[in-house]
Amino acid sequence: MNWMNVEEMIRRAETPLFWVGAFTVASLALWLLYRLISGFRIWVWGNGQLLSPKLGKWAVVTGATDGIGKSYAEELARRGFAMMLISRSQDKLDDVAKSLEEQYKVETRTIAVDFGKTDIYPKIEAGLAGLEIGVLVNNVGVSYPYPEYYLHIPDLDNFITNMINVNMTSVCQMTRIVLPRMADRSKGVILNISSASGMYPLPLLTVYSATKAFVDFFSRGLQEEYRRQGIIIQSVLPFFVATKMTRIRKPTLDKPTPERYVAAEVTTVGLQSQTNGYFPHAVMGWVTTKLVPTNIVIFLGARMNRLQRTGYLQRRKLREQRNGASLKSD
Amino acid sequence: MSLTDMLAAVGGFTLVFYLLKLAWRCWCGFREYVLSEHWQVDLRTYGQWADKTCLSAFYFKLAQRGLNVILVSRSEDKLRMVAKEIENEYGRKTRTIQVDFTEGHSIYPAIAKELEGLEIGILVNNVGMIYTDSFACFLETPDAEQKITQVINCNVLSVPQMTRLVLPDMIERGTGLIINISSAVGVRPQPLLALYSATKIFVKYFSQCLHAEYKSKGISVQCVVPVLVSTNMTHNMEVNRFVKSAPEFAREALNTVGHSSYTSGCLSHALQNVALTVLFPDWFRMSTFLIRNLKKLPKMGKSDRRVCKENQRVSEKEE
Repeated sequence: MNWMNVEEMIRRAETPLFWVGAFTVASLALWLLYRLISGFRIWVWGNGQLLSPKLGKWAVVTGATDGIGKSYAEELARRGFAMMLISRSQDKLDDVAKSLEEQYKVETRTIAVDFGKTDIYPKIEAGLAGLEIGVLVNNVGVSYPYPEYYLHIPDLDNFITNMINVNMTSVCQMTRIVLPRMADRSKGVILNISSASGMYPLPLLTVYSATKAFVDFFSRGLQEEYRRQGIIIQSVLPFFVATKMTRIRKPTLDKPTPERYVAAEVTTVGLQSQTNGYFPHAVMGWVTTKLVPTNIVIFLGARMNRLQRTGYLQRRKLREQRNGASLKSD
Repeated sequence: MSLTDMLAAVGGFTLVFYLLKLAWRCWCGFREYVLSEHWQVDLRTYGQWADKTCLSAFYFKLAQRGLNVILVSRSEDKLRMVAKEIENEYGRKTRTIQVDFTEGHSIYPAIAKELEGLEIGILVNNVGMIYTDSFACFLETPDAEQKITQVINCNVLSVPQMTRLVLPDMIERGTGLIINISSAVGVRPQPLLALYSATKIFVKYFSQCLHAEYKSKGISVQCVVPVLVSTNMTHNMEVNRFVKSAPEFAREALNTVGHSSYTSGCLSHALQNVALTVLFPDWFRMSTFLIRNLKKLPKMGKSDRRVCKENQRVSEKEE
């Protein structure tokens, strides 16, 4: 008797379950179609022509002497912006400025400041006075030399304050300086370089991951406040890019050169307010945020970082031993 | 199997999956907020002193649970008053440290000195400030340059720095608890409170990373995500079904210790957080329509909104 009742129940449930299943499949299909179309719009068609001096004569790039910042400076100079470069070393700034002037025939200016300090902003404000700024790239940032447990970080006290000032305070303050002028003209683009480490907590890159999450949230919140005034604020979250900071020497498909990365990223401006910037990174971003549960990502991220840490410490030990041995033989 | 049968099977699996997910969430919530009243973790197993930055209510509750308390705050008078009350009512020892967290990096050596030699079991990082009375655009903040640095010093810098001061000793003893107070506003980016919500996601990520790093060493790091609690920062708003009073919140939040490393603190706020996630998905929360209407909301209070909740309670045991 019981068996008959269960069968009866299943048979009656079949129709509503059918509709649930049909609905699920239909929504999946529609979603897939939407992703294909928007993917095409963003990654194939792109929005390449948006970043032009029509937004404003000058483009400001922080951390412009290496890596992604330098590539942004080159790309924007190529598009005809007059370039304001802000970084720590005056020598490197002069080199980059000179090469931009020679190669792209644009006007350049430089300001040398240490973003680890918080009293530098009056100087920057003075340097930017009177300039019509179309684009601001908040790129300056520092990271861990290698993934490490929180308390083992050397000079932790200054490390924390320095990282917070360079990665976070700089973004807020530079935006505060530049945004009012963009709002007055009702046009402008601010690119805040965050990181894929800001998409989920990454143990052993604790402070870095937290500062990058800050930049991401700040950018996205701010974009909605100023969208209607014609300002574009974009949160850029790259995975690995072959630069001095990441110490990746050989570029691959998923670890591109900064030039390749920036060329891809600028086409997403105006289309995505939060972007990974580069198609392979976008795929990785989608997989790690939508497909895999967050706890598993955190667990795997921690494991990857622990392995990287072990590898780095071993190589350092070997280097020291070799140096010690060669000193002895000398 | 026909198409009908296959789709019915898909439907069945989908339904079962979501039902199981719901059941699991309900069980976790039940354990965290209801059972925890009875299965209370003995907070004294962490250590004798509790260090707490801000929110007097937490001090009282920690003292009630048997810990000595170190109070850290900006106002000397308030410190003395609260310390006296705790000593009288619960007979616990107290110490006070007077600092202003908005000053940033320079205050931590002095704090380190004061904490020397104390066996600190619990650190509650609750200091925080908000910089505007109401929902307002970023540029509408008066004296923005100062405010930005102050907010970052108070809400962000204090957390890793205080953790740095107390964690080594906790690891040596093999036990410790750090409670970091984030906010429901920091769960998703919030236009009109962009800076504040960004500071809160920093706290959340920091807590979760630290928990993963030091869980195996016996350290518990908990991130608390309250909605609205009636304090100085929220202009002592009226307590009702949605807004918790500070003592009530502190009591329930301390119950969740040991049951969850990421919690809303109390059942009412947990339900509210769920409702907020369902009713305000990202596309709506960040829509122009909602932003326009949030801006129209009346200001919360007349005076300067800056209320730094500074209180660090450090629990220590004296030998």
